[in-house]
Order: sequence, then C-alpha cells, then structure tokens
Amino acid sequence: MRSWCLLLALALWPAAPAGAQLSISAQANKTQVPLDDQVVLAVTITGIQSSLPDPQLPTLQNFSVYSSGRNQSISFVNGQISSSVIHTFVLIPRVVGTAIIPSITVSAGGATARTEPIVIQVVHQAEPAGQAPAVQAHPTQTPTPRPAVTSRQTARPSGSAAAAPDVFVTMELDKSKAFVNEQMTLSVQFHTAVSLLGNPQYVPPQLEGFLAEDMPPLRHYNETRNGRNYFVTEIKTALFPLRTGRLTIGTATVHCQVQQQTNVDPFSPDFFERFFSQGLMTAQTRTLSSQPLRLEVTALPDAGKPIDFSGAVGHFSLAAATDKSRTKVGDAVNLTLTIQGTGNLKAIAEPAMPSLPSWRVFDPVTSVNLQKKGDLVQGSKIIRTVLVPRVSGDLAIPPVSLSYFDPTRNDYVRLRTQPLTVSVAPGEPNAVPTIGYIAPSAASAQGIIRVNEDLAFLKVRPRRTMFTRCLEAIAAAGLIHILPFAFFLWALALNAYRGRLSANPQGARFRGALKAAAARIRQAHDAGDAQEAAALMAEALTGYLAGKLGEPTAGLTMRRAQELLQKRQPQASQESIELIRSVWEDLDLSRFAPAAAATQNAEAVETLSQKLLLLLEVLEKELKR
Amino acid sequence: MNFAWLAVFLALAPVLPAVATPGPVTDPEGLRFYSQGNYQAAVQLYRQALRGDPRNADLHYNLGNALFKSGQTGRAISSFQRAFDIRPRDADIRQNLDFALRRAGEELAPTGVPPLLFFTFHLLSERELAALHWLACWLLLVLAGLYLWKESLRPRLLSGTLAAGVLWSAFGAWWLAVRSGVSQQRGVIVATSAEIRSGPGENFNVSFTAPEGRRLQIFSQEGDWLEIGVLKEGIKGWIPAAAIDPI
Repeated sequence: MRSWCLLLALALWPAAPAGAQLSISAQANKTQVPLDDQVVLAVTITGIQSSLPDPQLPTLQNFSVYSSGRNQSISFVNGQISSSVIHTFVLIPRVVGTAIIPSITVSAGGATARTEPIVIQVVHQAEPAGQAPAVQAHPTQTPTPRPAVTSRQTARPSGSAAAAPDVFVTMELDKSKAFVNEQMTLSVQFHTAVSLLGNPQYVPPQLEGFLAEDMPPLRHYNETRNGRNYFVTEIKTALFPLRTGRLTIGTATVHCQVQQQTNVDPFSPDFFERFFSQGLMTAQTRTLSSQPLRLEVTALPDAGKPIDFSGAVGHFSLAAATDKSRTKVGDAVNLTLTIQGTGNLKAIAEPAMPSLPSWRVFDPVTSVNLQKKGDLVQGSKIIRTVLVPRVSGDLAIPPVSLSYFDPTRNDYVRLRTQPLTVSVAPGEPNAVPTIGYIAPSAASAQGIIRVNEDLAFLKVRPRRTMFTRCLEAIAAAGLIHILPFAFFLWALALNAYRGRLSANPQGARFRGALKAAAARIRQAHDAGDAQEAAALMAEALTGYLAGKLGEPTAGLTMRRAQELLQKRQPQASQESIELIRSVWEDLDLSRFAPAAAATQNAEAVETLSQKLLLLLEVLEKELKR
Repeated sequence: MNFAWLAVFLALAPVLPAVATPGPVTDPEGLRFYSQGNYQAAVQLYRQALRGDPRNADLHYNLGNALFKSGQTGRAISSFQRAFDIRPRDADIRQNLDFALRRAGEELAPTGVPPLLFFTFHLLSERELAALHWLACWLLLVLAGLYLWKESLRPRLLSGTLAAGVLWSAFGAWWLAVRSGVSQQRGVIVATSAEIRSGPGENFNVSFTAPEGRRLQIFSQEGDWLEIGVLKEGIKGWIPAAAIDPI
C-alpha cells in the first residue's frame, strides 16, 4: 500500500500545481537615490519545482532597466524539492521625483504571485551641488575621469561639418581586433554643448554577429573639444563576437530637441518684434548618428586546443564542492561547480561531468551572477548537480575539467578541480530516500544498473561437472583407446577369414578337420556312458580323415581310409596308418562290443581319447594339403 | 545393438574410477589472503597448488584474480587464458579474462568475429573435444566391428555406424581446429610497455610498442629473444623472452 502511495505521489509530482506554492518578493537596495546613481532591484521567486518562470517586469518609465544576472539554488528537504531564483536588475533613474516600481508578477500553473509596489525617491546629484540632470548637460560641469582604454577605434560624428557642433554622437570600440567570443567594449557618447529639451531618445546600433551585454550605469562627464565644453553621456555595451571575419557595428542614433535662440535682427525697425523676441528660445529636433565601425574577428587557434574546449574565452577559475562529506545511500548530495572570472559567462557550457557510476546524477541547475565592473563582464556561473549515492563506501567524485582560451596569454588554459570524496553509509532498510522518486520500487523499474565493473570473485568451491570429468578422464585414457581398434581389427580379420573360407570349402574342411575332431573328443568326455563316448570319438576320427582326404564322412571305412591315405598322402608313415587301424578297431570294439572292450569306466575313455589325440597329432604333422 | 552398448560400457569401464575422483579441496587460506588484500601471499599459495595440479582451471582462475589485484595484469591474463583453455564455458573465467583483456586494449571475442560464433567455437575445451572425438571413434569402431562380426545385425547397424562416422568426423575436425590454436606457442606481455624490435637484439630498431597484457603468438627463439606476432594487429617482431609469460 505504501509503495502504491509512493508511486502515485511520484506520478503526480511533476504535475503538481506549481503555482500553489509559488511566491515572489522584490527588494531594492535603497529607497532614495541620486540621479546619477543606481538602484539594485532583487526579485526572488521561490517554488517547489526546479524550473521556475521568469518575472514579468512592468514598464518603468522613470528608470532605465538593465538585467544583471540570475542566481538559482535548489534544495531537498525531507524529500521535498524547492527552488529559488533571484533576478537582479540595475535601475538607472531618469528624472527627479517619486518613482514607483509597480507590482512585479510571476505566473505558473494558472496561479499568479505579485510583489508589493516599491517607492523610490530620486533626488538631484549629491555632488557637486546643483548639478544638472544627465541629459540636460551644463557646460560648466567638472569633468569626470574616464576609464582607461587601449587601441580604441573611434567613429567620428556623422555630418559634423561644423568645427564645434552643439550636439553630436560618437561611437568607439576599445579594440579593433578580437577573437571570437572575446569581450570588447562599445562606447556610445552623446556630446551636448547646449541645453536639451526633454529626454533624448537613443537608438542602439545594429549588432549583428555579436552577443551584447549592457554595461550600466550611464556615465556623465565633461569634455573639451575644439575649445568648446561638452557634457558627455556615455553608454557602454559589452560585445562578444559570435563569428569570424569582418564584422560591422551599425550606426548609433540619438533623437533630441535642442534649445535654439530666435534669430532676431536687433536693429530691426519693428519695435514689437524686437521687444517680444528678447530671450525667446525655440526647440529644434535633431537626429544624430555615429559612423558605423568595422572590426576584424579572428578564429581561436587550433594549436593546443584541448579536447574538452567548448568555446569559453576570458579568464576563469573553477572550483568544486559538495554540501556534505558524509551521507547515506539514497540521500542527496549537492555538487556545486563554480566558474568565476571575466568573460561571457552566460555562454560557457557546463563542464562535462565525469563518469559517476556509483551515483545517480540529476540534471544540473545553472545560475549566473554577473557583475559589470571596470568595463568587464565578470561574475560567476554556478552549476549545482544533485547526486544520490547508489552504493555505500568512500565514493570518489573525480576532477571536473574546464578549458578556456585566455586572449591575454593567447593560449588555452585547462582547469581541473580537486577530486572529492564522500563517505556514504548504507541506507537503512525500507528507508525512504531524501528524494522520493528513487524509491526501491521505482528503481527496480529502471532495470539493472551496472555500478562498477570488477573481477568476478574467487572460485571457492570447485564446480567440475560430471560431464567434464568424464570427458577429461576419457581424453586421458591412454592405452584404452587401443581396445576399440583391436576389436575392429579382430572383426576385420574374422571377416576376411570367413571370406577365404567361403571361397574354398575343401581347403576350409582340410584346415578345420582337427578342430572339429577336438570338439567331438571334448564332447565324448562329457558323454553319459563309454559307448556313447566311443561313438563320438569314432565320429571325430572318421570326420577328421574325411576332411583331410576330401571324402564324405558317410561310408568311409577304415580300409578305404587307409587306401586313400597311401594314395593321396604318400608322406604318411606306415606307423601312422597302422595306428589308425589300431585306434579305429579299439573304437569299434568299444562301440559294438563294450563288454569285450572293457571300456566301461572313465579311465578307459580317457585312455582311448589320449590315443586318438596322439593319432590326430601325428597325422596333423604328416598330412599336407 | 545391445552388443554395441556392451562394448561401450566395457571400453569405459577402466576409466570409471578416474571419473569418481573428487575435485580439489577448497582452499580457505587462499580465500583469507585474497579477502584481506594480501594478494602476493595468495599468488604464492595458488602457484604452489598449481605445481601439484597444473590442469586445475579454478586454481588458474584464482591465481589470475590475485595477480590482477596485485597489479600484474599481463600475468593475470596469462592465468585467465590457461583457465579459459581448460574450461571455456565457465562464465566467471570468461568475464575476468575479457575484463583483463580490455585493460590491454583487447577483447575476448576478436573484433570482426560474431561473439555467438566465437563462444560456440569455444564451447568445449580441447580436452573435451579430444574425448568426444575418441568416444565417437570408439563408437564407430565398435559398430563397424560388430557390423563385420555379426552378419545378421548388419541392416540394423548400418545407420548407426554411418552416424558414428559423421560424429567422429565432426568432432575430429573441431578438435583439430581448436588444437591448432591451443598447441601454438602463445604468450602474454608482462612488461609495462614492451618494445618490439625488428630483429633479435638491442641493436635493431624498435618497430612498435605493445601494452602489458597483449596476447602474442611465439614463432621462434633466438637466444634470449623471441620472434612474436601480435594476434590482434597481425604484426611481427622480436621481444626479449623476459617480457613474455608463455601460456
């Protein structure tokens, strides 16, 4: 049940009504400000989602508004995510008097939150006393020192035919050559030697191919040109070229109205004209433009470019830190990477995170805090990443690296953070992690995650299967392999022998005569009585002689056998033939006159068989085929 | 057909006692050394055990683990390879050999060879294939012998004899193929970064270097120098014999 509730909560978490817990507040660093100063307005938005909407700033007619950065922080408390973003604006007052910053609103999920209005009192410049408003210059103002610049490129005022015009606009760059993404500062100066009527309207130049960053506040100072005092209002903009080649900055334009005294002839005969026109001033509308500027943007050198270089140009430092050094499995740790320095911080890509298989890594949240001091865009970019340990132990966070190009050194620089270690204790069983959506039930839905790759452990218990052991024993059998071969060879020989026998029956009979006779003699030993034994032995003798002589067994008599032996086997000795007769007669006597033969016992049978075997042995030696 | 089974049983009878022999006894001391991180002591222990049982895949595997943990990747690969040759189906042995080889820029299944084909080819060890080859050979000989001996059984024995012939040919070819790889002289580089020269001596130029753990084929020896070929890249050269652990 608990896991179901958790899953439901997880499912609904992203769609939770963000507006329900969305809040906004605004704070100005001062409520009274001189005309030549600035107000820093911090607008804080908080909510329970990582991605918060931007505030809707109302129209502020009494101020020039410049964005000065955005700083986001994210935190996890008791499994709840909360986020806050601080938007910083620089407000430059335009006119003296009471200025009201109306409610600033923010909307999300159908809900709207708003701030209380803020009242700002804009007063005249504190020093020197009685200084004129910025755009209504007074020629006697004390000159303000200008920031030092090098290798400036200046665009002269267009249409300045007169040697010392009343009003004109100039535009200049602090350098004529730059690398891609290197900061350069564009200054637009509005020179006035006469009083202006109303606020002039400034139209910034076309900045195609650049990323522009306002550099508030406006600066005011006096300058003498061609023997004439001018009150100068200067607007600075930081430019970051986006591409190589020859780039053009368009013309800066100012629309203004200048006071012009009515040109009346003092010797005019018309008395009324002379009388009413004394001290009468008329307004003249002027459109002033600067000359466009051209500059050369060069590509960054390929030599020595680090593999992880992603286009950062400037001068930076990199630091990494975790908000805790001890945690538990499943509890979140915030890893904060801080990039600090001068350059286009907004355009710096987040450094590649090293492989962290022991951690669950969430998408980083980035915040940029810009400070525009000394004509340089500087500040910090903070990248916060939530890490949740998957396993216990001392888990290392390897160094994170960032490469950038330093235009002052004309070389690449590679920064590396120090490696960090977080001691992670095992999580408690069934404990809900600080981030709810990595509960075990949800984690199991992600499948198996390989955290680390290592050797498989030792083989503690041998696991040799019977199959393997049998086969290894057979492979090591050695001489046993001979047995099947021997059997096969025997069968082969037997088959060949049988073949030969079937090809020559007479010869087979001749060769097998002794074997057949021996078999009969063995049978005779097992016979029941002497008479039967004698009959078997007689068959053995007759069969043997028939086989040797190639005659049928039936009808072979002793006389016939003797005759054939003498005729066909002349090498047979007379003693052998006589022995045949003797044995034959003994056998006949035992068969047909057992009483007379006195062969009634086993000993007599044995004696007879020995005699027969002796005869066969002799004949086997003498008879040749 | 009963004669055939009888013949097989009779043929196997002498080797049955060997089948019943149990495996090596578990070594708690090696486990203790390894678990405590005393890898050198574990290495000594496993090496000593292997002297008495050189074909024990478990001991080679455990020795490989201890060597790897003690930082000797090359010798670890050599041990894992020996264990793999003896018992190629073992998942742990495959995993550790592959893990160690990847440290040396190699993989167990060579590049370009489908893993399924590689592991099918190495499903059985050389010994197992030899045994299956002999079993098929025995079966063939016994059935063929019976075929010759008993004329009355010939119609029933014919198909079995032919099948045994096919099995014998298949296992024989497989065995020879695996044996041709195993019987070659092989080695593993154990030097941190071995210099491979164009000839057998320091006076020859270094042709290339190879990392520790790279598997080699040894072709010949000239004094203290071995002529080798790197299996993966297919290049040849000469290397001091001391820089190689023969498999």
